[in-house]
Amino acid sequence: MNALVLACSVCGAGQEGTEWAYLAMTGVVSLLPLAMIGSVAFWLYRASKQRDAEDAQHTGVERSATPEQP
Amino acid sequence: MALADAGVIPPAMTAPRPNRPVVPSAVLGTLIFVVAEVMFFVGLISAFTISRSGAPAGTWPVPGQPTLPKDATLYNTLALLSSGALLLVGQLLHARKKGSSKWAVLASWLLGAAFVALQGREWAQLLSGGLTLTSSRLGAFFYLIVGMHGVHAIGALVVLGLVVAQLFRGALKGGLFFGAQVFWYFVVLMWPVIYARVYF
Amino acid sequence: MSTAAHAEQDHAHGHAHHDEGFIKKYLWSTDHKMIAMQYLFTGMAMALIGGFTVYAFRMQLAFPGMSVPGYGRVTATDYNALVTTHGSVMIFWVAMPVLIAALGNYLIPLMIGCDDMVFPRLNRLSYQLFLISSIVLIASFYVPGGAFGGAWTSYPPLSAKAEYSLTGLGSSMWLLAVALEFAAFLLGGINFVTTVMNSRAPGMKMFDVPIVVWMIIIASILFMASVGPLIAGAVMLLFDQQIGTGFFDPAKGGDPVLWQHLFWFFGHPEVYVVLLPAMGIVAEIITVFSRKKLFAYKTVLYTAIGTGVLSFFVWAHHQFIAGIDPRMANVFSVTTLLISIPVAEMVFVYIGTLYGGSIRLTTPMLWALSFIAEFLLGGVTGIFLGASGSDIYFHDTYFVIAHFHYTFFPIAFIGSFAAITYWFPKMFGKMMNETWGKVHFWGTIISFNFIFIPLFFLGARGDHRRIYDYRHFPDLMKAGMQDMRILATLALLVLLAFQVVFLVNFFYSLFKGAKAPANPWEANTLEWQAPSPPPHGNFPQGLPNVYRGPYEYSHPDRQADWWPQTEPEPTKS
Repeated sequence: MNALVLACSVCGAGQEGTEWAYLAMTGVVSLLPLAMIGSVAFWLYRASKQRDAEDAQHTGVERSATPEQP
Repeated sequence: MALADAGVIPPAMTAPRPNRPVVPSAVLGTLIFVVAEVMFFVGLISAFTISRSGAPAGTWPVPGQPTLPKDATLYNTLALLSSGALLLVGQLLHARKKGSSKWAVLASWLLGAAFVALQGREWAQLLSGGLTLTSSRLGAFFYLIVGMHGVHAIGALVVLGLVVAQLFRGALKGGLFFGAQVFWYFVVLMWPVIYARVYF
Repeated sequence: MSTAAHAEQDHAHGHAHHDEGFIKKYLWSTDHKMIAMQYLFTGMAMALIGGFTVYAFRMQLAFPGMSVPGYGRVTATDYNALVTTHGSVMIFWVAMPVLIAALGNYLIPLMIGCDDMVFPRLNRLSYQLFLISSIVLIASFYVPGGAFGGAWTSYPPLSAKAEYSLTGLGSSMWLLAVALEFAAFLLGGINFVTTVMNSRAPGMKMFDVPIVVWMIIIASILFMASVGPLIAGAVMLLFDQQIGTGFFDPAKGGDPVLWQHLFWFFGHPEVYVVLLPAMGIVAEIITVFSRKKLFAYKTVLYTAIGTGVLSFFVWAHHQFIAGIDPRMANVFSVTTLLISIPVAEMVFVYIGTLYGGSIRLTTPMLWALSFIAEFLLGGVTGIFLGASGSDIYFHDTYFVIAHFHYTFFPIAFIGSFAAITYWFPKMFGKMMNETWGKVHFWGTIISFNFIFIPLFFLGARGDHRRIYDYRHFPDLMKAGMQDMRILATLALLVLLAFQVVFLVNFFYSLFKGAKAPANPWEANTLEWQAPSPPPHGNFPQGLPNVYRGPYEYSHPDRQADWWPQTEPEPTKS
């Protein structure tokens, strides 16, 4: 019976320490994935730019360039 | 080829080669996996932080149960960090001259294995002292978080072991080395965070 | 690695003309198209289970105590298990595999013009894990105590102890199945992102990638970044169930609200994980059948990224009445209301695409248009639930049920039907029957609205969602309330009956349908340049060369109103 009474979702709420822990962890857990994805995306963007620049140097042809007559 | 690129020859007549990969696929794939894994550990650590802050007085830790050996674990931490540093050395050597990195990688593997062994000894001591999964919530969190890290370390060591074997045979295959590196750095760098959060 | 990737691709070409055995071809294939088909058919089979469970428990709600034809009497424990199974199957085993795994696997390599995924064996492993997870879930119906009955959100302490949930083994098997399923999609998502980054066809720049591919990629990234905490929570819950730890058990000092946070940290982005691919499908179909360039390609792309970013900041609106800090509730109210802006923007962009186009009302187009209309209703009613004040009243009523079915039904079913009817010619090389497709469409859409509009009114009158037999609650049996439940259930029967039309049409067309040309809809994207159905290796004439974006319809300088991405610029003389 004791266990059933304690099965209460809001009994731990309202303590200042817990609330701050929730707020802080909310911040960490929400911002960390964005930071990680952001840095991977930035790395990919730079690598992609670099590759395209190198390829353009090698072939000397850009897609948008007007084709030369054979 | 250049003519085809410029659109003079219709595409059906030539078979253009696939693009050069932007970044090595094995590195990118492992990196994405690591992002998910980091979130897994962050989930565990956030649950730990919230549970600890809400624990009633005298339950965290429960008096009479052994406290976590933060001084002894410092040696484990150093072993793991130097293992990561050695793998970095191995990576630099590999980039300069293929095949020159095998001893550095082997040393990194041995230090990693030493870390797992030291952790196992620590667990044995704690278990015999009366800290178990069910004895307290601190115990439950400790074994869960450290155990999950240990599982990842063992898995990474298996892969790294394959890499060592390939390096010594001189037959390094594809992206395995790069993927294993990324994953081992994750295991190494995750540990200080866990150590600082859980042991103190 | 680049050499390995090339070796893999050469390997794929080398096998193009091999005759393979049945098992090798259908069960052990690394071909992305075959894996997509495996996901699609498994998802459709699971949808039948999801449909059957809703039939059984809706009959119980409308006609309490009756013996349901084909099921028997629904006991209270059965009812819990049926509701739980319906929720988890429809989201995890229907929406996810069909929208992300099946369409992602099928479309990504074809639309970006490569011959297969970067990691084909990982892809095969992904489907095999998914199949095992489905089998574990189905097996849990037959263990002692029956299937898990703690709702698809699996809140502790109900789910944490066998003495509360009465399904000790069933709960653990449910958790195991969900965890396996996530592992499967994790592998799939890694493949998707890596493939799009590294295997695009020559000439295909980032902004030449079709919107649906972008959407699937953003959704995969969202999934992978948000699933970690839920897996952490699932492991903790499994320990609570099987070892007796007290992570979530208040009797041992644990915190049950913690699970809600860990669950919804994944659970809410999950809504956008399935929404974005459906939005992408609709974008493709609307552009093709409006014969117009997609209105504001980059806006759609950035909006989708914005939706993804915001979706990390909304999950706590599920805990407004769970005793969370009001400071947090305020923030999450605002972010929840904010996220309707990017989604509404996408809807406006689609309407902008329709405006002034020469619209062709084919079956896929009807589905795409109805997606916009029905999803709009779901989105607008979400505002009431996002505002923490009104949510306190609406929480756990049928208003919530009606709201999320107005979002999830368009996503999971309208989106899938749109995609299946649109890509069917490419997938199977046959055309679907248009007339029966339209019959199925109207039957489904009309009955769908008759199911859920009554539920809005029931919810507004305080109808609580977790009740097995309303006869015990006189306040909820007042004038007309039971009639509305009966109306919803009868409409459900009609809706289920119309799905037979779809299945017959699907399988009849599959075997006896008219042969499909390579490009029946006169579309631009790369998959339509491959033969229907594409052979192993996708592009038998070699990889396509890409010259422009995917949405050049009705270009003023051209006679034909479409301009394939592979067609070179005309040479000026």
